[in-house]
Amino acid sequence: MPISQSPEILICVVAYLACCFGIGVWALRRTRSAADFFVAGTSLGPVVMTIATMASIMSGFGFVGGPGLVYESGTSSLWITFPATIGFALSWVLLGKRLRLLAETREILTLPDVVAARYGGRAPRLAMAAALVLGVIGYLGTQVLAVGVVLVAVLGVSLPAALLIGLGVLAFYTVGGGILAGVYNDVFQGVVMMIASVAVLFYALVAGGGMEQISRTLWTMDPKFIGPWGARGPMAALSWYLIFGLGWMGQPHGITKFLMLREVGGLRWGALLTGSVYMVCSLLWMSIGLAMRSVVQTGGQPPLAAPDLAAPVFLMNYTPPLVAGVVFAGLLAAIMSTANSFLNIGAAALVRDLPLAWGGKAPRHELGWSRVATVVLLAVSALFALYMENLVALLGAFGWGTFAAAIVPPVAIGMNWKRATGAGCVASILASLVLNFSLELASRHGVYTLPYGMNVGCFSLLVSLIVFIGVSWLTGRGAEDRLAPEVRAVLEV
Amino acid sequence: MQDRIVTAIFAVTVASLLLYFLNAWLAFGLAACALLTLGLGLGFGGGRRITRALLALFAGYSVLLGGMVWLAETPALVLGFPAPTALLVYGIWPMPLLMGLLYALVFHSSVLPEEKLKKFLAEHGSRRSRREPESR
Repeated sequence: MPISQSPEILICVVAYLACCFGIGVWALRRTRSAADFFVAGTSLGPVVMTIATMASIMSGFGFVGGPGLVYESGTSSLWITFPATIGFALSWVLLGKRLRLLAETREILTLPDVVAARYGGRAPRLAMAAALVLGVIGYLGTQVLAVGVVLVAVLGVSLPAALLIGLGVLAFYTVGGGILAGVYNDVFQGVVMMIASVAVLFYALVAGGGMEQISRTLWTMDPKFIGPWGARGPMAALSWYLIFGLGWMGQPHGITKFLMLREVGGLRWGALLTGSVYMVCSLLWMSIGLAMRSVVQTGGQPPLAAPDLAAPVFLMNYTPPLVAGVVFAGLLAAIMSTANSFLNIGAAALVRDLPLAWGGKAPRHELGWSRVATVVLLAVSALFALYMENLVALLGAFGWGTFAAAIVPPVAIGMNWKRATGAGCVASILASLVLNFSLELASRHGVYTLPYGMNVGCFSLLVSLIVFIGVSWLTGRGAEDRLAPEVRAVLEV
Repeated sequence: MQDRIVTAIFAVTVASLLLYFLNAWLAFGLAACALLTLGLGLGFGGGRRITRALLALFAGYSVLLGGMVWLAETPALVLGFPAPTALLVYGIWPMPLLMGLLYALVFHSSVLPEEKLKKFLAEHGSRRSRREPESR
C-alpha cells in the first residue's frame, strides 16, 4: 500500500505537525528579545538541553541516509554514528564550562560572538560568520528538501505543496518562537525519535529472524559486510570515527546549546545523558539497514532500487501501520529539529554577525529583523531545493566536515589554549573552507579523489588543526598578555 | 600543561596525516584515538586520577582495535555479532560513555569546584546578577 493511503501514518504525521504548531504558539508569547530568540533567554534546564541537543544533531540523515548506508556498505556506516559517545564527552569536557562561563561575562548569543570575544578584532568574527553561512545554506537546503520528500510520500501531494505545508509549520514556530520554540519542539521530537527507534529495533529483529540469523546471512553473503570495518574498508571507517568524534565540537546547532543553559551546574550529567540518548536513537540506523539487507539476501524482498529506500520499504512492509506512523513522524521530527536550529543560526549570522563583523552594529530592532531573516532564509532554501538541487546536494555533502574543520580548531582548542591567536583562527577557517570545497568539487568531477577511502572532512580537519596551531605559534608572541581579563579567567577556571 | 598537550596534539595530527598517506590504517586508527584522548586531556586539564582514566581509555581503544584485527577472520558469533564486530558494537561504541561518567563524578572536584565558580562569578559575572552558584 502506498504510504499516502495509510490513515494511521497520516494521523500520526498530522498530529505531530499540530503539536509543533501548539508549541510554537506557547513559545511565541515568551519570546520578547533577541536573547530569547537566539539563546532561549538562557533558560534551559539540563534534561531539556540534553534531549534538544541530541534531537538537533540527529538529522533526517540519521533516519533515512543512515539505514541506507548500512544497507549499502554494512558496518562501515556504524563508524559514523558510534563516535557520538566520544563526541559528546569531548564537547562537554572541552567546551561546556568555557562557553557557558563566557556567556556569563558578556552578551554572547552566537559562535562568531564567541570567537570575537576570544580573539578580538573583526577578522575572526567575519571568517566564522562566513563559514556558518556557507554551512547553513548546505544543511538547510538538504533538510528543506527532505521535509518536502517525506510529506510528498505521506500526504500524496506535489513537492511545492508539500514544501508549503511543512515549511509553513516550521516557519510559524521558528519565526514566532525562535530557538525557544525550537528547543521545546526538539524535546518533543527527541522523545518521538527515541520511541520510534526502540520500536523499530524490535521489528527489525523479528523481520530478520534475530540478530544471530541476520549476522549469519550477511556473513555468508560477504564476511566484510558484517565485519568490523564494513565494505568500505578500515581507513574509511577510522577516518569517519575521527571526523564524527572530533566533529561534534564543531557543530554550531549542538554547541550553541551550551549558551542556553540556565545554570552552569546543569552541565554535570549532560555528556553521559546525551551520549546515552543518542545511542538509543542510533538503534534505528543500525537495525533497519542490517535487517533489510538480510531480508533481501534471503529472497524475502526484491533488491531495493536505491539504498535510501531501506527505511521506507522496511516500515511499510515489516511494521504495523501505527508504528510506521510514529517513525514517519520521528523522521519528520529529526529533519525539522535540525532545520530549525540552522534557521536560527543563519538568521543570527545575517542579522547580527555579519553587520558586527563589518564594523557596524546589530540592528536596533534585532528581534524583528531576525524574524524577517528567518523567513527570507526559508524562502531561499525552498527555492534552492526546488530549482538548484545539485548545488544543495554539493553543499549538503560536506556540511558536517565544513563545520568540523572550520570550528573545532579555533573554538574547541582555542577556548582551552591561551597562546591561540586570531591569525591562527582566520588561517585555519580559510584553510578548511578552501580544502573542503576544492576536494569535494575535484572528487565530484573525477579530477582527484583522496585515496584509501579517506573522508574529505577528516583530511581538512587534520590540516586545519596543523594550520591553527602552527600559525598561532608563529604569531603568538604576547598573545596571553593581550587576553581580556574575563576571557583569561574563563580559560583558567 | 596546556602547551604540552597542544604540542602533543600537533605532533599526533602530523603523524596521522603521514600514516594516512602510507596507508598504515591500524597506526592511523591508534593515532586517531590518541587525538581524541588528548582532546579530553586538554579539556580536563590534568590531575592524577583523570590522567589514569585517560590512559585507560587509550589502552581500551588499543586493545579493542587490536582485537578487531586479531579476530578479523573469526566467524564465531558473540551476542549476535561476529566476534570482531561485537568488539565494535559492545566495546568501542559504549566505552566513551565512561568519560561522560567521569566528567559527572569529578565535576565538583576537578571540572568546576564551587569556590572557583563563586570567585569567577564575583569577579567577572557582569552580565547576569552575581548570584550564588546553585547548590550540589
